Amino acid sequence: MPVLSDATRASIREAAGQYPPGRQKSAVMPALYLAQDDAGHLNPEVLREVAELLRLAPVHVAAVATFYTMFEKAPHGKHIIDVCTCVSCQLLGGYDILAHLERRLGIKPGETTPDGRFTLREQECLGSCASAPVLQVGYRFHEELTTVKVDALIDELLQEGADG
Amino acid sequence: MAELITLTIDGQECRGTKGMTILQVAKENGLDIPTLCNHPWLTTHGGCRMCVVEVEGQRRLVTACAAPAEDGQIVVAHNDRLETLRQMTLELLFAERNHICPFCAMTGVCELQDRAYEHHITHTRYDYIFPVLTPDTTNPYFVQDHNRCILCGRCVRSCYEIAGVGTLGFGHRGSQEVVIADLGVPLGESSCIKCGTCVDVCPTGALFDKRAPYFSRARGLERKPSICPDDDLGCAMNVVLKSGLVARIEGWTEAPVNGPLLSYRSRYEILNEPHPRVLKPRVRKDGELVEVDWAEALDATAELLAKTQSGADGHVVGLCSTRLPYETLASYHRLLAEQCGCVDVDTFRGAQRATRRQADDLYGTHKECDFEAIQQADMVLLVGFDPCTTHPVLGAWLAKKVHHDGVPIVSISPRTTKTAELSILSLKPRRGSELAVLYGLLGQLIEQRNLGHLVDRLTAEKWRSHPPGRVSYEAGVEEQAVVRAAALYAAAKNPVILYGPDLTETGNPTLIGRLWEMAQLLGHVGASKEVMVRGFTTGANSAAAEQIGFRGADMEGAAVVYLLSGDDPVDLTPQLRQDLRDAGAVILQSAHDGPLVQYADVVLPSLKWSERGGTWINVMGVGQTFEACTKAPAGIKPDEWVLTEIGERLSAVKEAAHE
Repeated sequence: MPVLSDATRASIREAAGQYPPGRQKSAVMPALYLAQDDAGHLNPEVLREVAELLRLAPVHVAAVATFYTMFEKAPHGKHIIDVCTCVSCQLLGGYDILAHLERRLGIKPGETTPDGRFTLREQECLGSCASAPVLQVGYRFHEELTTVKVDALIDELLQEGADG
Repeated sequence: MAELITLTIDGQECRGTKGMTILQVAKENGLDIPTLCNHPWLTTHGGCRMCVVEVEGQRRLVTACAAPAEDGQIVVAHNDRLETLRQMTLELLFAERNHICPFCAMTGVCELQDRAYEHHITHTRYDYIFPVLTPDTTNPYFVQDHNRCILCGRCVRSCYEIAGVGTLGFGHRGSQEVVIADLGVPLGESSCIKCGTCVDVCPTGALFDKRAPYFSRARGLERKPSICPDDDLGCAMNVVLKSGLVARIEGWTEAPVNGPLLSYRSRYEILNEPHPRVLKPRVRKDGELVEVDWAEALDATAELLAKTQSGADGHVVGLCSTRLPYETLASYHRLLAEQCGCVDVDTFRGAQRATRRQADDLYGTHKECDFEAIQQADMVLLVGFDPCTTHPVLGAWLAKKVHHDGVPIVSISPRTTKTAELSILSLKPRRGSELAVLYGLLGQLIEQRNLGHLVDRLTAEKWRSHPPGRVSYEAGVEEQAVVRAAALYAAAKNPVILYGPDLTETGNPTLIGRLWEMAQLLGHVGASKEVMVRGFTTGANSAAAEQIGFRGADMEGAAVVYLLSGDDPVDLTPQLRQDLRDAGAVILQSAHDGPLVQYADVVLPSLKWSERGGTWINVMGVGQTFEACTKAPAGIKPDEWVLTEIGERLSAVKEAAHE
């Protein structure tokens, strides 16, 4: 039984079609992003399905999924908050942002709130040093942070959840 | 003719041809450049950085294994700078994993250890940062110990490039990077076909044979080529001997048919002997088998065979193993056919060939396609054939076609087959209804390709009378599957049809005839007029037996049955049991004290696979000759000697009778 939606399966096939025949390996990264957006995280069933869709040996998909940290292999909260504490962010208060989030959400880095809304993580450089300190929620960056901005962001995310 | 080039490596003028790498030119000219990830069986990886060399005019170092050799190049492969770099690479490798040689199964035959000694590594300047990793012992034949792994990727490449399965790959990253199977499952639960090629190519103790880890590590081992007796592909292998005993089996680079690829059966299972050896001849006296000397046993054998020659006591039947070399098969056939006047000489797997012969009689002789046609096929139709089980090397070739070239495989078999996993489409008709499926396919083919004019009206009617709906009803397969299978076959330019022991065992030559028809109908006939069809059997020397004239045996009313089973694990079917019970007397020439012994009146020792030498002819008619690898235990005589002795005794009895 497929675990991915028909729409996602179609998108993955389309992604594979953008590469020359026999080069389906090139579509592994886009396919994994699509699968992750649909399934939440990449468990073995999802990986197997992606491999089948791309007609690749499962290990070729697993190799990519396990190599990159942006592919989630385990269940996590609805929103993942990645806080950068690398040099630039650190100098401009990255740890303060992280500590503030720990207090606000009541969890430590690597943990998920009991309601399943937020997962908090400490990250190495996110590559946006010019706008430090930064954090990332999903695919979006939030830059030049202050604790006030962070609170507003959390409120917004909570609101979003309440609307949905 | 390739363009000749000349370059200078370490001051020495080296010759090569365009297209060679610097490493290949160096090797060919007797120069040594150290490597770890490079292996002659595999594609270039360029990951270990051991072979870095300086090329004049290039700012950066290049890896000799990957850099193409150019005319006039000036290469430095050894100097202090490169030595220092190689030392550092090695030190980092030693710091990253637990390479404590004294505890490693492969110490003494390890390439990492060799490189370390060559580069005078006495210690490493870096902190040991290796993680503790659990060895994977779930594979029945070999162990994967991540702690000894240098991530050179030889196993990963061999798994994809040679075995065709792609079970192994790299997982995770940095110091946590390991070689994983499938989605990170234990090897024993993975898609691994247990061919052991990864063990052959592993430069360290990260993959080692369970049976002989410490036993076979010494240098100075002897290697002798031999043949896998299991199936008719003619897979040659390298037998590794220590003190005259088989330590393990390796892939043999020069094997003409299979190259370095072996199946789990020829590499591992062949070394498991489920029964003890028959070391001395035995004769049944008062219901008990009693050990006797050779002379007595041979006299008893000749006496039994002579009795039947008078004709009054019924006939003698001979059944022989197709694992035996041509020479032994021929001697056996000569003894029975010429000296005993026996017409019932066959192999244990006689039925398989008999069906093919019947098909020949019914539909005219057909030359079937060769390996090259199979390699070039763009579609494979398997009928009653599960190569992944009966012919694992062929199964691996097919897997490669599927994974590398996307060649579709359609499988038609009443059984649940392993090969079905590779197949794009798998039809599972009810047993005995395969013919209906083939009619359905043929009907679809003439319809889809509008070929009605090529067949006579009656035949066309017969095929048309099997529309997918009826096939579905008769055989229990989906209508759409029949349509799709026909479409896949019709769409291919060079499809091949492979059938196996399953099909021929049904004893239905019509099936084989239909397959030939299917190939001819769509014009799938090769350059030398062979149809793109090929049947496979399970005995290594079935083709030789066919040539010699093993023609089928009627066991009914046999006075004497002479079984030459050697080390063949004969399938003791209920029918064979009954036939042996009914026979007047049974002579058994066997290497092992197996279940056949209980039926025997005379038991003669025989050789096992590693003790035999001779010629084997594979399914495609390729002959290979090998010498014996090991000596038989004291007291066991060669099969040929036994057959000659029996022959001489028979002649003596005959002469005595004449006088």
